[in-house]
Amino acid sequence: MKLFFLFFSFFIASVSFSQESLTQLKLKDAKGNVVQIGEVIQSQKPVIISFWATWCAPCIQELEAIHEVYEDWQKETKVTLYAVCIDDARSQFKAMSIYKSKGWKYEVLYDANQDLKRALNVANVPNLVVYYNGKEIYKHSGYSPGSEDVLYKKIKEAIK
Amino acid sequence: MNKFSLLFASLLLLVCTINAQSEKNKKDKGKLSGSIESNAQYYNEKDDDIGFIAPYNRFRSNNYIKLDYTIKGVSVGVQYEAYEPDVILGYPENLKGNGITNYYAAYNSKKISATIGHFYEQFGSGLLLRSWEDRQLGINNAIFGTRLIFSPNDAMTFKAIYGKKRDAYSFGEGLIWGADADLNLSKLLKQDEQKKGTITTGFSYVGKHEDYDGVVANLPQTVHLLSVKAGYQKSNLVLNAEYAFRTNDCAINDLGKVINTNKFFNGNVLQLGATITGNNSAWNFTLRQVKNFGMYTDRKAKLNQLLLNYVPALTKQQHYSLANIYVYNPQVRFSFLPGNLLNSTGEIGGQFEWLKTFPKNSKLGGKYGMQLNVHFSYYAALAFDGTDVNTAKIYSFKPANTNFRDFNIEVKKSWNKNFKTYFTYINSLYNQKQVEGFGSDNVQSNILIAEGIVKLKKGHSIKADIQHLWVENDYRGNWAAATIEYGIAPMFNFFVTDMYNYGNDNKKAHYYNVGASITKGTARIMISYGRQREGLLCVGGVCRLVPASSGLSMSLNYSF
Repeated sequence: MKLFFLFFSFFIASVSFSQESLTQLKLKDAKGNVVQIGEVIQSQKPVIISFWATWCAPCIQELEAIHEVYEDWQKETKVTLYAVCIDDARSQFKAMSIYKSKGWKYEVLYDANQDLKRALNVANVPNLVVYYNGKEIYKHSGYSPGSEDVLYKKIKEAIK
Repeated sequence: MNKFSLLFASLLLLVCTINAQSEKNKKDKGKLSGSIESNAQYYNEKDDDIGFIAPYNRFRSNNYIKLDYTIKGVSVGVQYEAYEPDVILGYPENLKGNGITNYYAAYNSKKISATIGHFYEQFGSGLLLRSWEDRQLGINNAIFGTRLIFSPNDAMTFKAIYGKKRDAYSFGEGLIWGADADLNLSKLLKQDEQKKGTITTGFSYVGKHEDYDGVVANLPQTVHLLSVKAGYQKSNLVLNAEYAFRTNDCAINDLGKVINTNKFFNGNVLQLGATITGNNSAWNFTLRQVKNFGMYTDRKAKLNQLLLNYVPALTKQQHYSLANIYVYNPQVRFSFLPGNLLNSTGEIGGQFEWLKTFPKNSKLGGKYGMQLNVHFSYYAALAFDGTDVNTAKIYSFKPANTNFRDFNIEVKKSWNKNFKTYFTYINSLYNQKQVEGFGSDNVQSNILIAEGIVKLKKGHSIKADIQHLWVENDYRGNWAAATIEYGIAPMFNFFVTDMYNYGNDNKKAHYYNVGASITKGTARIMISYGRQREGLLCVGGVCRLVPASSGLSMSLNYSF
């Protein structure tokens, strides 16, 4: 039984090497739609992947600060922010209440068992990664007021 | 174990060959990524104020190196951990030493994912099965074995797993296997989701087996777990329901010892949730009953070792220091007092939360807006008659005495572009006797917290808070606390914190900490000096008991 399982997956792994290369991780959005991260970061417009949790005060402060200027950022740089919620089953359902009541216009995704967080080697939240044309252009962990200005400067520099 | 290492090595070799081949064809060299984390403590020799005496090794560190290599949908990875010369106090002691603790090879395509080696998995919300890592809690119960995931389209996902859970440098005895189906019925039936809403459903099964040759006759060596869930979502409404059941298992006391009885016990969970969102506001409701459902893969396991599933406390997750003194540890499994007297069989309760944003330029919102968060939760023990587990009558859906109750209100107000304040009030009732087995059944506390954040010029900012906790029926008495932080975005952060237990007549101690952190990209270094309060450290409803300590702490994180 054990060996069967091992060999079966070995078999699958060996016959299907010749396919996709990028991260095939799939996350769900609030409506249960499946979003493929590999496709998201290939965008020709800048993409911010921001990891947050409902219990993480600095995360929410950061997203609130960006919320204040997000419309301007979008107009100027066509940037999209994916707010990836790493909450587990305990508070995951609270995420929707938070972003709806605060009126956030971000794309919210759920990373329920932290698969994406692990894949990108994110140690702690808040943590954000910026992609542009499939390339990682900026990474930052932690938040103190004003970090968002630095982030925006990096995005503007990259798309020049 | 050797067999697996061999298989793993051959797979690595295979990947390398493929890599070499693909290099000829295309210049895809794959991607190497990884992370390094190091947490170290240098303990003071002693600290009489908090009753601390240095352990045998005064310098201790927990270190993690993780490496992953991905090429063309194939990934391989290892994690190396070192707890040298010893484990930091409060972490599982069997971690002492070093070694490769996790390794895996996986293949991922659009429809199929296959993994052998160590992996992390969660079925649904984790009620039947969850394997995860939380370094702060010293938890890494990755499953070592095989996993297959098949998602033929966006409407269906099927998973199958088989293996054993990691325990420090080895595995548990218990073998686990399971399958999970997650279905989006609206997408399957091609219904108009905008008009009719989205209906989802899911089924999970998990089995566990552990040989037994002890004195208890007919002890179930195999236990089966089943769950079914359903969800409905339409514009501003989300509804969820989940029911889980386990077959008969023996009763085990808090020390991981099987209780000699001729009676075996099943368990169940029923969880109902609703979220309603409106204009700048949202309401959450959750109700849950848990009876005998906190499980380990092994009968001898205790505390956070070899957890099979995840049944967190459904209360507010607090982030202020004083709000984390009376935290609720959910009562999800049978617990016994000394002499194997039945103490708890489960819990029943719920929570309610209301969030409201008063927008800018509204009456209450003022020029810069205001936000309100109200939260209430209540949990009671499940009722049972008698303390001898052989004859006790155990009920479902019948509340007995209160375990925990709390009420939270938080107001955030922005006064101008650069200044905002948070005010928090928390009232809680904690049944320490029931939850911890000693103390009062009526620990009542009130907490007031005020916090302000000022954004200065050029990325400089100041964050400060003051907190006070009033308590009745706990000998530790009242607390006062304050924090001040100075940040220079995005690199520097300096902080001073103090918690003063002035109400404790035996030990009026200051728990102070002074420190700084430097962040550059994904690298972060933090150094602090001070004292650690004895108590529960909880992340996501799972707690670890941290002993009091004092000394120098350093931590380093880097990822690439």
